[in-house]
Amino acid sequence: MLRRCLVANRGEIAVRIIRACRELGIESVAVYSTADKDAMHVRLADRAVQIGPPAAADSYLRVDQLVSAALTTDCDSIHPGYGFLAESTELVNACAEHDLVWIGPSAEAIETMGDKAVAKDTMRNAGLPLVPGSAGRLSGPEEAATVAAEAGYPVLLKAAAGGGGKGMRLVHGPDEVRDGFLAASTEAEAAFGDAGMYLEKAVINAHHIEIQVMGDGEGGGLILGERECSIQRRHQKLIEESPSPFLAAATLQTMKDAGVAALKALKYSGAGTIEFLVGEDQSFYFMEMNTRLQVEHPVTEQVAGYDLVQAQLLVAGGEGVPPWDGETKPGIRIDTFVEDGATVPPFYDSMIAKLIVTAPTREAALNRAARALDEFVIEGIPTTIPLLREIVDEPNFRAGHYTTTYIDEVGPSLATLGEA
Amino acid sequence: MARLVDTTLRLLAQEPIAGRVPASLQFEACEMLDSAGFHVLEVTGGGCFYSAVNRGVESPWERIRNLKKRATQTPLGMALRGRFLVGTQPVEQDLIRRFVDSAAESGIAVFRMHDPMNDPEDLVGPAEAVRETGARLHLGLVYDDHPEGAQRMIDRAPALAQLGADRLLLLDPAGALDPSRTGALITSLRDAAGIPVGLYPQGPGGTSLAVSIEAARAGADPISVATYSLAVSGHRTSSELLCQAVDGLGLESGINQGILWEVAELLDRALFADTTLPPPLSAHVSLLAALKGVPAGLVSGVERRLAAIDASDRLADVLDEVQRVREDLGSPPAASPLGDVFVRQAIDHVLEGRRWHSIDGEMRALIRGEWGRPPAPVNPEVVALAESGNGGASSMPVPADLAGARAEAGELATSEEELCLVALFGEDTLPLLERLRGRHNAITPGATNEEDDRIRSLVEVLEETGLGELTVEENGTRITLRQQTQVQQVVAAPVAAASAPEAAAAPTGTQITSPMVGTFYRCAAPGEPAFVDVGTTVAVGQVLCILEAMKLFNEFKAETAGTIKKILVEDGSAVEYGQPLFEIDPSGA
Repeated sequence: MLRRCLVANRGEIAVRIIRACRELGIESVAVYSTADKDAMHVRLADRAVQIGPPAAADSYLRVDQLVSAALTTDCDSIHPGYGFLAESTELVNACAEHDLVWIGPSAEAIETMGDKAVAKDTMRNAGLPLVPGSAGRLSGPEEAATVAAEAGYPVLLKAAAGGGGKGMRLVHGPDEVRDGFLAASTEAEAAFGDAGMYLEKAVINAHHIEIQVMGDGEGGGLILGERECSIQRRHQKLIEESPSPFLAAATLQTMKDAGVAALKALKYSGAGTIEFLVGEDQSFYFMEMNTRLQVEHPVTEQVAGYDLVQAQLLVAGGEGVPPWDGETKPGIRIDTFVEDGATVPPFYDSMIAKLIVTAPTREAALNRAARALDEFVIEGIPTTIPLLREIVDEPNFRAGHYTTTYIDEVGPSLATLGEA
Repeated sequence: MARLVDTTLRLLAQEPIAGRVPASLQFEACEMLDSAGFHVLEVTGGGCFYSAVNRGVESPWERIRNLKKRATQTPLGMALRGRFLVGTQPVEQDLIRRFVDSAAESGIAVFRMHDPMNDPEDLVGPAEAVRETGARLHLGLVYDDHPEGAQRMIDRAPALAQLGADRLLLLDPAGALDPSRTGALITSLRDAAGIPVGLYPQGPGGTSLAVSIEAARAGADPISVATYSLAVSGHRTSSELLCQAVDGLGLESGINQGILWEVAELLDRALFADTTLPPPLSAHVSLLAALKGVPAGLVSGVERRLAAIDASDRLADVLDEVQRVREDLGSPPAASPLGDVFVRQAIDHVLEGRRWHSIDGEMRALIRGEWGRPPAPVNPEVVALAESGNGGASSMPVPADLAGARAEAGELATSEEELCLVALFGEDTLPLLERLRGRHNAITPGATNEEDDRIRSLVEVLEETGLGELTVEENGTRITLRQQTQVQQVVAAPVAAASAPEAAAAPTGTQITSPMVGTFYRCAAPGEPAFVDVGTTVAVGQVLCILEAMKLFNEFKAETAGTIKKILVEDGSAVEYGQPLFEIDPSGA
């Protein structure tokens, strides 16, 4: 069992971890930059150490300052939260060097999943489905046509060196391959100085669905259900729901089996999330694994009746994965660190609160969300409350008809989107 | 003595090998190479930064620092393309200075650079930036294969020595050096420059090793090498073989050969045990590079490009045309990043069937001399074509500058070193920064983009006016911005911290606060006298105390002269960032 834990983060997640520590009888030490002097997590922890000036690079991202703070306050462990150094092997290794328990997966797991190519190879070997396509660079339009025929149209041609949409072409059939390839590779050449191309099956009307896992470090653990996170704006998730209104029961079961295989392959320890891209035909493909606690973890906690942060602390403390015998907890939960008069420093992520509503049916949950958002008043700064309120009543969303392009397609009709 | 510079770690971090060897293995190799006795470990350079930004996983700066932790005996080196730094265009001096500072701070002790145009004048700025950091400087000339090339290089050598270089470096990326002439060239360059001359050879089919041995016999110091498998597959000189030859000739490399073979075996397992992976350069590429006298990397680039447009049969024509394009341009070296510009032009000439019909922005800059002075004059006909605007006015990519980078990076870049990346690589850096911030997946309430912009503009007002606080009310929103006390080690004392209420009584005193979290020690070791006592008069730079963090003992030095009035912390106690440690009276200096 852990004795004293340094919480290497700020904001609502620091508050959340400190509270979990307290419930387990673990002492907590908060860290803060000078901009967070008066923050809630500083007051809530048993002790607090000032670690640097406001810029995150000089405070919350400073491995040496965090480890030094843990050592001078006699901590036996460090919880990184999410963001900042949650996936930093440098901090994991520094913990090992100074006999501190790192509350998270091994450096090896972080490194493996952190490199896209290695992550995909590892998961392919573990039997997880990957988006079909070319194994590497294509030799030319002829190979592109062959690979595309195997993967099935439509396919996406992408620049090997690329990003940002340059050197990318959607190809609907064999007659478009040659022109598409030449145009895209010329564009890639101009943009990146590298004309190399690869190809992937295009997943149309895609959903972004992830499963929450809690590994025991020996190859076993729990699969705690899915989260549907297709409602995104600028690649940031706005709304997550569980269960997914779209996913078929059989697909979910196959996805969970894939999760079991991944835990086994990685001998994964602690909380993690495996993200999948799901096509309209329920075919699903591994995208990436987040080797940390996620922002949206309370969604799973409420639906599964399972405390993920406590479980992280227990797993890291050598107590094993706590059993899952909970049930859905209906109600309203708010995770936040702001209170009357609190300031939101401009140096960090602007997320200030999470609203989680749970009810026996989807309709009841949406009605409850609508009511909670109506009553949710934050004065002094604009928030996404009006936007969320409109989405909750928007007919397509109500009906459970949405994909990752929802905000782009339905967004313009939402009156508040322009102001938000 | 013929000392060697190992470039293995740099080669592992750039294309086409980047990502094939796990970081943990590279760190293990680094520790072994560190103990082998090399002059310098060259760990990073242009290709490494490009690759790190493209892969978007790890900061290239972080990698340097991680290697520095493992290399405790051998200085780390960085290869730079003069005022192009690690990018593809020349950049302003301010950016050069910040980039070099960031590199030095991360642990680079030796900067090895050449100008892509071979123009010593263009190395003035970068050399000055390096000298300011106190790091060592190796300045290079790329081998000029023109009949008058040797003399042109010898003419330019003294200028490089005058820039403060402690080594002149002869680079041969095209493998064009003839072993039989190498010794004489090394000797002439040394006589002209008056400083030792090192060699950075590349060359297919063993020429690289032959050239290295000849250079060693002529006293070249240091010579760049790489581990066996990378040398064989990438046309470098094998450290193991050169070390053996040099020691055999009685020229003492000072290197433990056993360790080199261990490193070779270690990396071989990761690099070539998987037979499905192609070697970096094929024998076909190797032969063409030798036949056409161009760098092998350039050949494989052309080959890839032509394959993508179904024109592989024109490879030899394009390589010949590359040489003609170079000649028209006054024979600048065909190395990175210019090689790429030549290749684009040459492909265009070959496929279009006519020469100099269209000229893009980078080529136009080259012709106009904006990128530096080539060894020989540019063909006047080409200059005329470029000026006539023939082929359309393609504009230059936006030149890298720091102000633009700040705007582009927003709050994603949290440090100078990250800003440098954005300035050099533009928006391609953003995925890496997002990854580093670990926020690519976090929920950001959407209401913030415009609001963020507004706040940022207000922060600028605050900074410019020097106001302490600013409140703006608009559209029912009230924004209050308060200037954080400038973070310094010395802050004014009248508003004293609660832990030292007496300080308020000393209006002339200032407090010295801790710059870090750690343990405070008043003396170097138990029983030794304290660094300072109450009443001690201290000078700027004098050690005040030791701050220990993670078993590292950091000397904390005075930034202001004065007399110590109070010591606010007990010996051996833990201190946090910003905690007052001493009270000092500056008037008592």
